[in-house]
Amino acid sequence: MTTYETVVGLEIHVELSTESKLFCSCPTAFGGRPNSHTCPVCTGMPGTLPVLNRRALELAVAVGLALHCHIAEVSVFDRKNYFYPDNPQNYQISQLYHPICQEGYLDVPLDGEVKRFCLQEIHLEEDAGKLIHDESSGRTLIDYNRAGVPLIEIVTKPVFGSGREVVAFLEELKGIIGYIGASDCRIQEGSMRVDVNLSVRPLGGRELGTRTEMKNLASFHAICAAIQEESRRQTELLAQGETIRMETRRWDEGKNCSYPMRSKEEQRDYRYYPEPDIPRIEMSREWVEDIRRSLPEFRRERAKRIQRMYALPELDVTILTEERELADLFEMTVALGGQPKKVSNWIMGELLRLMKEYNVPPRALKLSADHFFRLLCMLEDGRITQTTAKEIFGSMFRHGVDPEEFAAEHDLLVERDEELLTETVQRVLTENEKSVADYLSGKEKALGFLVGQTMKALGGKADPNRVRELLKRRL
Amino acid sequence: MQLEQMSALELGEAIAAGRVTIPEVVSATFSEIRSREESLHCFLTLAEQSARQQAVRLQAIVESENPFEKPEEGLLVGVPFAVKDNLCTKGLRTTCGSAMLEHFVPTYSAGVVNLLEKAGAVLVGKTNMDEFAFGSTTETSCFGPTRNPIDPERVPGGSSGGSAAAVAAGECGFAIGTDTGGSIRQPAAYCGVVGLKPTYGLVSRYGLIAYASSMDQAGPLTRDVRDCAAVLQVIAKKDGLDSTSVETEPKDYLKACVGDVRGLRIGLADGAPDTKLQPEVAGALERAGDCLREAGAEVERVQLPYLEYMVPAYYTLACAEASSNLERFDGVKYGYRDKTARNLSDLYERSRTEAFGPEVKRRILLGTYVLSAGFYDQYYLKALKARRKIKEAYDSLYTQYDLILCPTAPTTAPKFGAYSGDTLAMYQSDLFTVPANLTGCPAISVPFGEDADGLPIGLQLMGRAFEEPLLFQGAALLETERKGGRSV
Amino acid sequence: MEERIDQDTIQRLCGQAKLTLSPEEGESVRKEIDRVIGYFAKIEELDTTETLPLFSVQDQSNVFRVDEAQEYAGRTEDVLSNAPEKKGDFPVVPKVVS
Repeated sequence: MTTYETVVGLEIHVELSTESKLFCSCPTAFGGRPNSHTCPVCTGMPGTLPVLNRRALELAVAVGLALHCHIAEVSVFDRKNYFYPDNPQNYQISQLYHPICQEGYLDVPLDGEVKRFCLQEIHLEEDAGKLIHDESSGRTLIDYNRAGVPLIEIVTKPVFGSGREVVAFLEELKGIIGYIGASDCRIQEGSMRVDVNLSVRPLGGRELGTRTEMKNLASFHAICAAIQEESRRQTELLAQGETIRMETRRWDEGKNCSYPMRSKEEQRDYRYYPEPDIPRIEMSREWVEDIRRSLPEFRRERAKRIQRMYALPELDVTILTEERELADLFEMTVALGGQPKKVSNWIMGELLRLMKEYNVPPRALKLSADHFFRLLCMLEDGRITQTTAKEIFGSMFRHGVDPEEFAAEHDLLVERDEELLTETVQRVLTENEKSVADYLSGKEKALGFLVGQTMKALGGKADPNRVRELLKRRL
Repeated sequence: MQLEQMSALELGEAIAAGRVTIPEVVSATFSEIRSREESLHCFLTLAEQSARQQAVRLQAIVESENPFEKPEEGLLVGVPFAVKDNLCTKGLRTTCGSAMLEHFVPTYSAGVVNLLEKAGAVLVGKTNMDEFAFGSTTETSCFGPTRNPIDPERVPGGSSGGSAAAVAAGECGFAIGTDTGGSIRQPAAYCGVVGLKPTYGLVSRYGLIAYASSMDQAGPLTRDVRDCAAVLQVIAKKDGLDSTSVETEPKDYLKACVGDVRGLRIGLADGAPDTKLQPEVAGALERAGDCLREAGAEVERVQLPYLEYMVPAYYTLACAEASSNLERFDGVKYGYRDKTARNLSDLYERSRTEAFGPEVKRRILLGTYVLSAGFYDQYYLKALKARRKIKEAYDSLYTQYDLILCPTAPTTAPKFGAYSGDTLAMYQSDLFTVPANLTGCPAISVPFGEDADGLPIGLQLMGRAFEEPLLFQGAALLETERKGGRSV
Repeated sequence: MEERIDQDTIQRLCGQAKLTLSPEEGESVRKEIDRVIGYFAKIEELDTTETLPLFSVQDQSNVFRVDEAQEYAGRTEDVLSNAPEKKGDFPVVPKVVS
């Protein structure tokens, strides 16, 4: 019985985080009223023309450089012609003949070694609109808000052997693209979409079998499941002497299987030809070098360096470097004088919690390193309590407030007036004779109660340790 | 002089001098339109209400203390103009002569329309054209043809037939047409007016409903050469919304209209050995050569390179681009939709089949064929290579000559139905005009004499890219000769 | 002149271009297209072995826009103003089966 191996190649569409669309000035922001982020250009109105977004091009080149691609000296856009309602012009402006980036690779640590996965090319293209099925009328509604949003399509060579390899690759890729700030690569939100091309062949064989294309893979889990299932399906067919049909299949997460979408007979002839409305792109060596210089230190190098410089545990380093903005905040705050472990604890604890609660992505953080550092100083000096510090941090997170101003305005500073403290302690002791008696007869808990009462009398604005100290002395 | 016989500049000057008001001019224009339209059918949509409102508003500006900032831009204030119906006009129906866009009202205006309105010209209406600009006679308009004002049994030419006829008939001060394979120049020749196709990229294509994106240009149709220069002055501006629009150093086109051709090297071309020129056209060409020679130009005979490959190369490329540009007309978000369609595929097919005329379908199918897998190299890519050879040959020609003089069309205006059943014959009549489109160079058609039936003859001057001033020099000279009463 | 276009080709082109021709039209269109394609083929006579295709007559390159978003009210209404069929904020088509 023949053993088969799986061969997978990927086509990954990534939405670029530009302000405006690829060929017009409409906002790319998510949400908004349907069809409001539109203009005559991205709705394919007659007589309208595309004008290329420079930043989208630079982000594509940055990603290409990070993935060790050759950046084309001359690059051109092509029209891909096909009729579909989410495509306002019934052609998509893409790149076929001369894409902006060619070849390239990504090294991924896997099972203790480093595996190199090779790329075919990366090109720019425009996204399509969204089709919404309307149950009540049984018809389809069209929203052009997404039409024209810039995408890069990353095409790998058929170099993956399993879902595990694919996921490891995608994780690594996501980290790199995130660090460049080119996209947040959230597969669940659709800013990263992965199509899987899969074929099987006898183990050790060199020729590729007939492949199928799978779409609608909405999570890493779905990708793994789909690869496993399709591999099984193809292997079974071949074992029965059947042939594989070259087709596009749609993955059904619920049923854990895929269905054919388009068959080979309907393989489209896209009649690609160079886009006459957009002049060619020439990437000079100086320009490419400028972009290369602007690339950030990527995650792996940064993690190693942070660990070396600040002697933090590996877990901390992993979390801090997951997003570039978090690592930036950490290092800037430490540079101002913050103690690394304390800074790290706050980020891993309070900050991540708040980000999750309010659904704020790293690039939208309002918290400045300067404010963060000064808050930590206030806590260090005992001018605020831990509880108060968390409260102030919350406001810094939500509104970017200055911690000292905020604390003063809201009367949050710790009461340090010894006279007032002593006075209050005295008063509490007088008013709680029973608790005093309890404590003196050995009930430690009573002290806690007295501390609580004192804190309450002071409106919570005291250092509980100091209060405890004063009470003990009195008792 | 009657207002409808005055040139655009003469009208502008009369308005500025206060001899006539803009509302008077506009009123007279609509009277003229009403008296001629039944027989000519130049217009598809009139903008009477907005034109009259504009007239009142502009007249107040003219009479106030603050004129327009730049005097050159103020020459056309109050002059009524017409626009070919493939240029979008905000709030005003734009049909492309097709049932597909019979009810389409754009929410934006073309770049050239905005510039002309900003310069104070008054838009009076949209003119008739061959459907989607595919044609040389304006007979394919789904709204019926336009008649040649000189002889109503004959076509006005195409595809900017409505614009050319409207100018010839005095129904507006000037008009804007579009030219992809000769569609401004040839109707200009047939109707006896001046028509210019500017250098590709000189005039914005934003809002110009695309036929062949790499060749389309909007340009003026006017009663004389100076008007043509004045209109070009307004519309030759870079547009940020058109990536193929270029920035050039500003030129004074009016200054070039003095007809000084001394020392210019002019090549006189009468076509390929098998080109059948109407005798009067051939005669006009010779006499024009003589005029230019007597005025101090060096004129010698020249063979236009690759002439027999021009038309096939042009149509291969034009149909290919057209087939792609017309895909957006699908009944989904605008345009004609067959509401009885049972499903999406049906909707596409029925809407397009019912709303497009036969010539449009033909060119779409031709274009689809030359771009399809397996044929792309043989036809489309080959035509692009031919285009390079043609361009290089013309670039070389323009190192020896400053201008090329040739007929605009081999004949004067044909009768209606002259090409029915013979598409190829119609395509082949474009042989003198397509070189300028394939190479992107500018070309102007000027009236020069008449044939035995009194039909106007048009001669064409072609030049290097961005050298419209030389074109105006030559054209102005020929015009002077003709107006000077010489027997031409 | 050899025939280059047969009925099957015409049908295929119609499918790609979303056009339908009746059986009567089919033959006359086929003849016409065949004749014109034969005429287009005249350029095969040109020797272009050393020639690169000319995609644009201009020498332009690198024409860009700055990445700034512009918004104005009324865009949804603009999109819908010419829609043959609409529901709420959307143009509508028959059900799309993917």
